[in-house]
Amino acid sequence: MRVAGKGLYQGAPPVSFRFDGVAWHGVEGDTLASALLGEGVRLMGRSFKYHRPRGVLSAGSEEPNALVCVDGVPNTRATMQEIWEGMEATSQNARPSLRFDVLAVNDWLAPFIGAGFYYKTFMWPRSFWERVYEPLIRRAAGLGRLDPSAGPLLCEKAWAFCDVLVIGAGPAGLSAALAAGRAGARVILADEGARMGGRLLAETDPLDGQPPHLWVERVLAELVQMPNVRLMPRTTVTGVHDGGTFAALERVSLHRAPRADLPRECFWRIVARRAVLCAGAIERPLPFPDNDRPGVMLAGAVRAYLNHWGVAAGRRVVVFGNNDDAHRTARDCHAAGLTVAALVDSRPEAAMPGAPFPVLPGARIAGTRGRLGLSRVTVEGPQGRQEIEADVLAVSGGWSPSVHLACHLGARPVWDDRLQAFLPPPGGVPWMTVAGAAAGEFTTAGCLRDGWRAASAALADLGLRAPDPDLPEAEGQAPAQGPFIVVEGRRQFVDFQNDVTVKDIRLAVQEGFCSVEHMKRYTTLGMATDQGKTGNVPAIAILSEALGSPVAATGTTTFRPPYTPVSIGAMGAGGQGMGFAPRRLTTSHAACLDRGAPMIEAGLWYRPGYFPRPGETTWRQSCDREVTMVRQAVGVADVSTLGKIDIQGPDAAALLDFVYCNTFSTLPVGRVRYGLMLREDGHVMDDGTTARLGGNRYIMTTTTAAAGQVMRHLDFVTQVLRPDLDVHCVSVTEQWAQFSVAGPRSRDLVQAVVDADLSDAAFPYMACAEAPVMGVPGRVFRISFSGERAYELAVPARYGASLYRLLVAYAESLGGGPYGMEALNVLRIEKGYITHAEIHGRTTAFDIGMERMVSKTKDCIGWAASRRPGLLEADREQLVGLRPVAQDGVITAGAHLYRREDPATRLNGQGYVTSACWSPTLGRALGLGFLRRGRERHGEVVRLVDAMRGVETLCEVTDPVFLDPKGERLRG
Amino acid sequence: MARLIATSPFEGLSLPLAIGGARLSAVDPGPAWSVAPFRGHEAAVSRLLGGAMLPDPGQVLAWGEGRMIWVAPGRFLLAGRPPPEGLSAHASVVEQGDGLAVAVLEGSAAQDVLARLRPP
Repeated sequence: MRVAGKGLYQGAPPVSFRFDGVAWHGVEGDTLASALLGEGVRLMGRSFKYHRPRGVLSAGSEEPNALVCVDGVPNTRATMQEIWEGMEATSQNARPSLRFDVLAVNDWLAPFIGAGFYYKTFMWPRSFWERVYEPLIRRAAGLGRLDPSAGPLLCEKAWAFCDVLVIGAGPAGLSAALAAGRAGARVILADEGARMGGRLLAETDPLDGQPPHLWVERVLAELVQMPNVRLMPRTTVTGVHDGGTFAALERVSLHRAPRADLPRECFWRIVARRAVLCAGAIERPLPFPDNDRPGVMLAGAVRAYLNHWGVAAGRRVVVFGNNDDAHRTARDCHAAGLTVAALVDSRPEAAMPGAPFPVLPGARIAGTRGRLGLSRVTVEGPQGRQEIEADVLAVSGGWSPSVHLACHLGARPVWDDRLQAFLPPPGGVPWMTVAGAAAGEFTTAGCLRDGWRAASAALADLGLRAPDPDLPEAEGQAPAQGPFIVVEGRRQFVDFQNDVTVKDIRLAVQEGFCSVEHMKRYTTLGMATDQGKTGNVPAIAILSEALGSPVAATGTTTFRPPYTPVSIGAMGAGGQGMGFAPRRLTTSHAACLDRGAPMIEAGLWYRPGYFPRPGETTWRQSCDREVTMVRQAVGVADVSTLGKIDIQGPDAAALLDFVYCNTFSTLPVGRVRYGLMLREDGHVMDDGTTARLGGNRYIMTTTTAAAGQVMRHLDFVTQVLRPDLDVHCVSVTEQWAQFSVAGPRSRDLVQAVVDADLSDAAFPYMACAEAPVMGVPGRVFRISFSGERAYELAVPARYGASLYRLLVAYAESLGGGPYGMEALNVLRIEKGYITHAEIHGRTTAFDIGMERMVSKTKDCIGWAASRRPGLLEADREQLVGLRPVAQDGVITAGAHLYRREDPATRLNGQGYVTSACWSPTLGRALGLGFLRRGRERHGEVVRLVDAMRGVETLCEVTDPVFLDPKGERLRG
Repeated sequence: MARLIATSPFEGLSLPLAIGGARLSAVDPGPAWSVAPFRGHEAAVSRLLGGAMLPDPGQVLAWGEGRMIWVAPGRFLLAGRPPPEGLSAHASVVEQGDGLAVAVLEGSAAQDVLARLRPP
């Protein structure tokens, strides 16, 4: 019901919404919970295991009961969801309806399905485990349901940096932000509520003689004007991470109707030099029989609903607590015109002189009635037993400081016997201090002072001067706290969300699960979406009592981020589709797309697979044509993606000799050499070419996918292994657009665009030069990956797009054209040239037949390891070529090789295939692979078996170079 | 005589782009070279640059109408002006301008846009 004259939203615009199909009304500023309470609705959910009717327990993010599905998002806490016009919310875990739930039968079976019952049941028969029990349990478990047809939540990610991050905007947080803001620090003030103010919005105790929310508004008005202060409401700081980084989740538009141009959530990473945690405290309920009916609420929450939202869960209120703080609820309810039927205090010494309602000290609630909503409570005390009619039971077992974030780096909180609370560990997060109720300060005046103090300390650390304190007058009476009590009986719930009772905790101890970590996992207490915010501390008290040990010895379980649930969509925002990885495009990309070339991803680069001509319907047709075109005329391919590293310095040659296994210090100026790089363990890391352009100037190329790794390797070598070398390595992959022009007519083409003498005499195979290319400074390299006469032309990347189209046009006039990755691969297989398919990380120079390339007269990385006998054994698998015996035989990469007469089993394995293609040049399939003692077995016929694809082919073992073994076509 | 046409890295991306309070425009960064003095040649490099101090980590120093931008230990980017004659005898001088794309982001929303791009 709405209470006239109460709340901060009187006169606010009305909002209509639907809950379980029924239309209700609230006002702007209402949460779903406050709006439903305002309309007299107390039943909001069904509990996880026993399907007991539940209502809202709290007024914050610690809510364990009122979990609903809003706009397709399950497990939304009704206490945090603001209502918007037309909002549809549905309850969870009840079928067919909240009022009549079929699975409420579980409550009758409670004696048999206590904690851990599934460890003792579902045992027989064994065949039922996976076919029956698991599917059934999976169906029954969980609270909310995801809608598989719903599209992804539109979210975004962002980063922020500040000097001081203030977490929580209650009295301590506002005070801290004010201090830091006035000192000129860059401040971020974050609060998980829609409206900043924390408990100041929920209480009536005056600040400077005025209602507390007025001070809040004044402070916010000042903070919002400061350009150095950023206010972030609806933002939960969810985790503390290394290096002063905090994770936070901002509810950008979950409180309004969805809009296509607004993300629902934003996942923030906030990097702060210092932080002040003012997260407040969470009230704990008391365990008594049937303490979970709709209408049983936390005493502080009853005050919040009354004073902040102006609603009450009912007309007749009973208050039950073990501390003075609960008295404020009785006082506020009475002042608002509600009937306070009784104030029940477990402490015999409790008193409230002059109270206008019955006060029952030394008494406790022994039971409640009202299945779908509280109607009556049973009180037991010195005066005996009595039944009191009530529709609201406000409960308080004391307040637990929210220490979670202070423990995210692994520190454990410290039990304080006097405060009956766990306090944050000093130094738990070196760059963060804790202030206010989160630090155990339970008076308003204390919180205000504490916030200012903590901010001042942070400012001092940052070398800023803290302003003089400017704090309002506030109440400073610390509420007296009595011991935690358990009212004996049955069905006393401790963890409301996972339906864990006092009996379950004691059962865990009985079964030997005595440590708090074991008790947690055995009972599942604290493992639901609320992470036990209201139940953990009571559970530790109950466990300690059952063990007969002090609470300090029991301790807590580990605190981990996130503090409240974070949707995966928020953490992964922007990572779908094209956003998943950067795309690296060459300067010829547009030209390739224009020609309809399908693009292949190689590393992050996009390269054309083939260039279909009209009439060609399969990739093979295009590929075969391009291979033939290169072998007979001329082809143009973009090879800019290969890593290019500029190496300059007096010790450049020494560096090359160190990283390559062959010798580069003998390379003349104007020449290119093929090189093999080994890893420290003697296996091949990468291969490539290095060209000497001038005295101490070299340019190294690497495989496309290995470019970054080789650059890192060179950095490691020059900084760590050989810091004595005076040499600099700079990546120039993006600086130069580079194109391969290959084929018998390639010289005709390049001579037309390069201003230099490219005759064979002046420019033999493996020559290089700096020369103008169509008027711009460029480079020419006579190297080939196809086995044909070929040249690579490099120009500064800004000219790449232009040069590529020109080269292709000239090629076409010579009967050639562009060729893609498929043809490139066929051309190199025909020539037995290796790629990372062959140097896959487990092969050595010996294996690929390049053992003689490893110089015996100089050291290099991997030299010693490569000489290990095991890496030189004749029995090792050596690179061979494979030709099917039958002209139409199929070869697949990944197939395994066996002796012709052996069955294809693992023990008979003789090797495997690494590359395969159809060769239009030779009119049959070809393969490269590794075969034991391969070099001795040329001419032998082996059996190729690809069990996955069902291929079996007899193959002749050959030299890997199928075409032009003397390289006459290369040299011209 | 036939020449090659230079294209910007932003070719085809429809800049300048203005949405809300943010405006993104392409800028020609001009020439840029990576310069890394060889051991013991720092003074010679400084002398060739007209006595200019070489930048410290995180520093950007003016050099005539150009700039020297620190990019790595012992290395800086020389942007906006060609390097002086003879510098390559004392330092590794590597052209880098074609590998750079520079854009200007301005407007009241510029900071908010950057906040969604800046890596952690």
